[in-house]
Amino acid sequence: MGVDPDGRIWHIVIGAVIGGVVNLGVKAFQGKINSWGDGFAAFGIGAAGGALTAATGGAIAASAGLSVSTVAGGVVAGASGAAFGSPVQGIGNAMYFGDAYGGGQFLTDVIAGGLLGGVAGGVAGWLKNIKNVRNGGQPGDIWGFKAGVKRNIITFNYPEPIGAWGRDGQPLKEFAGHKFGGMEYLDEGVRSTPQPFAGAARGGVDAIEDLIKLNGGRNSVTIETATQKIRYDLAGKPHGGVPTPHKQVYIKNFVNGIQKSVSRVSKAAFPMTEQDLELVRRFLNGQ
Amino acid sequence: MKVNSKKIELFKDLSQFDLDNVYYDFHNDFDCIKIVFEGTFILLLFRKIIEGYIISFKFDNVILVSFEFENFNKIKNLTIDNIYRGRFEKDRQLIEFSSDGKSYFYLEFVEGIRMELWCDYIVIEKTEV
Repeated sequence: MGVDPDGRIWHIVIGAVIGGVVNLGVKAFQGKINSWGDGFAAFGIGAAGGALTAATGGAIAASAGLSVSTVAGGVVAGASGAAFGSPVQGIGNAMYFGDAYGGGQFLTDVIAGGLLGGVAGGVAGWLKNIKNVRNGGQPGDIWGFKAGVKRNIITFNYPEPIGAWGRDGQPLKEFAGHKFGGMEYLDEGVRSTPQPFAGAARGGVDAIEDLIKLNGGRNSVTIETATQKIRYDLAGKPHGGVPTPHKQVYIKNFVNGIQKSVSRVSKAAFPMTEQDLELVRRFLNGQ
Repeated sequence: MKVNSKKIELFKDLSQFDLDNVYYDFHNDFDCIKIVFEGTFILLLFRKIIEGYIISFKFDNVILVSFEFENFNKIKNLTIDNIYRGRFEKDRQLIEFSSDGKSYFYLEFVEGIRMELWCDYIVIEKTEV
């Protein structure tokens, strides 16, 4: 039995099923299905056209460097897929059912494919961004978001999105349906949403001491990404009334793709969670 | 210890660093007890919370570019958040060093004080009290 570990043919299978069902439905509506044979023929013709549309459209968009979850990628995939699938289905229906098929119908199919592909690509891209944000990425994740003006967004999820910042480092009031009150909201949100580190009651002091030992006796661990750094203070003085262990998040500010400076996302220090401690432990262990 | 500011690694956080094989964490273990801007230098004095000794952090031949100070009513002790050599933006271009060889530094405190300055040297000294 063949396997498709990368899922590279599923869109073709789905295209075939949709093409088959739609063509069968149209022929049934037109009153041209009078036997099981007519039904199988209608389904088969539609399936062949649908499979070819799905197989060629996505590949052509990808070869042009476009993602099908964008409007442009959807237009290219839809139109080019229809250019291949339409003749198969049109000629098939013409041969079996006696339908008319010519250049006009071909052009209509290509234009309709492009329009539908564009709408579907735009919607898919939008849903993908919503899903990414709602599923809570990691601090520092960058989601490309297209809403009239293309911009890069940094979302901070803790565990739900509590803030989003544009590439210029400025907090956004709204992103992908989430409304943020800027820094003030972040301060309030952080205090209420995370589960703070359990502390001494659950052997927390020993855990912190172990981490400091693992860190060569230093109180602080900084983990950096390309766009962000997070400083985890395991011990030491409270910051803004938040005792250690706590963390502070900084973003790196860029001009023309070159780093200029570093600034704090919020004036607040955030209490470290059990997950944060585990992350620091894994970082110090080089995992 | 006197360090030519040009030799300081870009974006290296000077609020936590090694000096003469001793690790100093100004962010967690020290209070900033004094800031002086006089003539051509800016001096920061940090006092270790437990032992009480003082480390002075002096920026020499300074040109102060910006200074922000807020939250007056909330400030009891100052905590340094970040000291690093960064880049300066001029006409949408970033530069590391001025025409007269100074480097650009960013200083930020947890309580909201921010400074940006050009300087030639940093002098760091420990004073036992």
